[in-house]
Amino acid sequence: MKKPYWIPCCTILILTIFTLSGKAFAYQEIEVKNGGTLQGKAILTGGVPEPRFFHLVLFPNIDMCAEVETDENLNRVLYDFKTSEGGGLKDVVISFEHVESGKPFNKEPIMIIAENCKFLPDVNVVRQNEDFKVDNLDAVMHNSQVYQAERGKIILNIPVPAEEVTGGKIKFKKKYKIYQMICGMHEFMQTWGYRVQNPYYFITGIDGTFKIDNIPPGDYVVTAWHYLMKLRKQKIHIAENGTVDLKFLFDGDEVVRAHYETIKSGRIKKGAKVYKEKVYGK
Amino acid sequence: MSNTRLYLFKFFIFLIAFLFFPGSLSAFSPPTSEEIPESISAWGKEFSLKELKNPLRDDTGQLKKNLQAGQKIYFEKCFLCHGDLLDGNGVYGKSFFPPATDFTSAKSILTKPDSYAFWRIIKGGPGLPEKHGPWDSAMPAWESQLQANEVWKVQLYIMETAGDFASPQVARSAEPSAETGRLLYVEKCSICHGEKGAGDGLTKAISSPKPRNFIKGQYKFRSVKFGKIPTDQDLFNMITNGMKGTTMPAWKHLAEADRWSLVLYLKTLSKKFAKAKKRNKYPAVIAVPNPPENFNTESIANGKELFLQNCSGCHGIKGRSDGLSTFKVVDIASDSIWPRNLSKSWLFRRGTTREDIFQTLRTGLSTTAMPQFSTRVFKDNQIWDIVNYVQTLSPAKRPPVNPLIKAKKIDGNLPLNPDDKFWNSIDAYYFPLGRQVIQGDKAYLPTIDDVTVKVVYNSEEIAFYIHWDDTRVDATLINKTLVEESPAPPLPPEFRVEEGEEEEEEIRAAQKLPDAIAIQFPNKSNTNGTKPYFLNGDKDHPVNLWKLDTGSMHAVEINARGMESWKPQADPSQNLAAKIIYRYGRYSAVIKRKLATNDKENDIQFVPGIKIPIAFNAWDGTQGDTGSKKSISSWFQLVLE
Repeated sequence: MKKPYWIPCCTILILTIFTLSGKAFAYQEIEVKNGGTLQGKAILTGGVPEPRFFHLVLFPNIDMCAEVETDENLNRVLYDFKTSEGGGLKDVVISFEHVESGKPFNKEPIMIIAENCKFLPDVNVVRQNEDFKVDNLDAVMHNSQVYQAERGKIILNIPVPAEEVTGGKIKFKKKYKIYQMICGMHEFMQTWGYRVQNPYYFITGIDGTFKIDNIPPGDYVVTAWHYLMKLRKQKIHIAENGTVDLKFLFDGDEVVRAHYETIKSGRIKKGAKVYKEKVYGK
Repeated sequence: MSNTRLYLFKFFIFLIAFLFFPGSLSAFSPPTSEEIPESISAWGKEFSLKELKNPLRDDTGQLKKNLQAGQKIYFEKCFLCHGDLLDGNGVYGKSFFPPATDFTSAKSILTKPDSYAFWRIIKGGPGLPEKHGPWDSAMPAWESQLQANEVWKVQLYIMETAGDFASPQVARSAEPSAETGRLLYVEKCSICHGEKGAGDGLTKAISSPKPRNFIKGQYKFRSVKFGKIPTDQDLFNMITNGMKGTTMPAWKHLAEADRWSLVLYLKTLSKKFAKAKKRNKYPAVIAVPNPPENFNTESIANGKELFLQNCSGCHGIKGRSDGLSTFKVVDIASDSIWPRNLSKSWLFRRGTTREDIFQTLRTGLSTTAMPQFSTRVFKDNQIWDIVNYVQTLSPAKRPPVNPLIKAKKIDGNLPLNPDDKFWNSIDAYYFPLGRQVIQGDKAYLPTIDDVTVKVVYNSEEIAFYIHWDDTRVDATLINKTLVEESPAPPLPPEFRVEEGEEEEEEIRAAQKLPDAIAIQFPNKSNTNGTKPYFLNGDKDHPVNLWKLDTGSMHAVEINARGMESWKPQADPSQNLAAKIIYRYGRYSAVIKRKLATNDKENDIQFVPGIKIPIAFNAWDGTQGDTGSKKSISSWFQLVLE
């Protein structure tokens, strides 16, 4: 039987279209000429939200976990809002939405350290399908449950054996941007990640300041994300060789917490659904 | 020998036989050298066994190489049953009847011609002469998996090595040294623990738990705090006593000085020991105080409360490893193994005395999720309370295997509900299961290791009650039958809130692979003593399987002619009724059928007084069991009284 010639032709055509269209959306690295700069500060206004308390009596390995950030009542204390004088807020991810092309995108791979039942750092940025590593320095087996925080859906669950480096991959569903990694046995071991699609991002230090340079001139939307706050967005225009100053204000009275993370809930419930609610403020 | 001595000797032999091979299980005796066939055919060739010698033995130039190759084959194919020490004490060695051969015994192939082992390895259990019960042996016919020269290599390894394990060894050096330890390590330990001690030896892929990584310097069992380096005595004890239920044997046949040499060498594999030496800072031994005598109801009640609060999150409220946290953190393949099933004390690695359990609680198991119970929170008397309660969760010893199920006749109905109190009064029979490591897609990771069975009948029907432990219920059963899962541990009173918290009803997906149990009979009972092959029959000897799976929750009658040839019976022949429930880490099921059916060709027919072979298969779907990946039992017997 004569094979229809149009089948391979169509296949090639379709594949070409897909490949080209895919490329059209992906970030392109180019030489940036006359790039501008964004700088500014993330500031916490209002009251500083209370830290979260996890009573170590409820969890295994008390002696090991009590080595760090534990009060006299054997509570592991999570200081989610670290601020400096003048209100600078730490661990805010400043990033640009929809940048089609610009400076090279050489992101450092994610390496999370687990030591004394604590994941470090608290916040990372992450690319879709990015590999991450967890270096467990503890003698206890931990466990890495990765949630897509917007829904609280577990997207990965891997054991993290003692004194080993374990690898995994973050794969978001379309449009999801936030992950949260929690140890299945020690819920106070938490680290967060925000998805970026271009190299124009910055994670604020304790002074809350940020500076992003080499930005191709144009109009952009800049977002500021803190893991217990609603996302902030601002539109900016970057002129040739220009500098834009920007402030992101976070109101400490508007904390958004996942219900299952509060001590009230005690333990992560099966399925670990997120209830966005104002748990406490000023 | 005097008459009295002879009498005592015979009595002793009888006692041993009685204890270890009760009932019909004692029947197996291996063929003698005289029973070696004249010739056998394999790989399309005919081998005359008369005068056949291992051709590799005379090749002295290649002897070392051939021995190493033989060792590799042995540890890939044989050691799970015959054991590291070739003594039949592999992890599944005693799960089958007849048990795996002890090559260190003079009665084994050691004293027989080369051709004997060649024949037995190639033709395995199915090639045994009929009077030795070929249908009972779990020894595979290796001709399908090995070539002739490989068979000779493994035979060479067994013959040359087995003697080393048979008697206490003379010390390599009178004074222990790390160098002697290194030589011993390379010879004895590296095959599992790897050349450099990283736990990545040959057997890693088929062992669970996996061999220890010595480079970390972390050991599960210590007399010191969690996460700290063990004492020399701890290491010595581990080498001497081995690890029950794992592939790590007890090396007590090695001279004491040699075991100390191994201790010295192990300490060179991790930097932690040198660091401690440099600082002259060693962790303090946590002494186990004398146990109080208050093994009373009050202590047990306190212990229960503490257990529910602090242990049930992983171990489950009945101790069957079904805690709420468990399924989230367990991954056998990557060595995140189950918390111990506390209802099976014979598997406690450290031991079962109150002191052993106390020490485990106070020191935890480094590198696992089992913590040490801190002195900041728990006083000694509270630990003893937990110990006392844990001891109530299990019989002190593994139940004996009584190979003949005696089914009692009952007047009236046979309850289909496994939860019916009726079943409490019926005699229980305990049967060990091994994993299917014989043919096809093999099941190396341990899951279901035993079943408990009760059988009754009335004038019309027969009912089989069967229970087995499984750490996770198939969600299919929820809301369709009785399912009780271990709840989250209660919060301490100070954390409880007045108003109830809203909890959304969680809808869990059914397991991709269902859990299942199957009872196996010959399709018809033969009174001449022959049986189908225990692993689902063979092409000439079919079996009748009653399989109940959690996906359908029905029991189906299946005809099988070997593991790969299963066929459900046609609808008119499906006559089973079944019910399954799940409670705290344990499935219980009842399967009923009429004593006699119309399908005389395929169905077993139950007639009082006749001994009927019976065997069991079980699948843990959560752990990937399906098809030939399953737990299996040998043939036992059933008689309707």
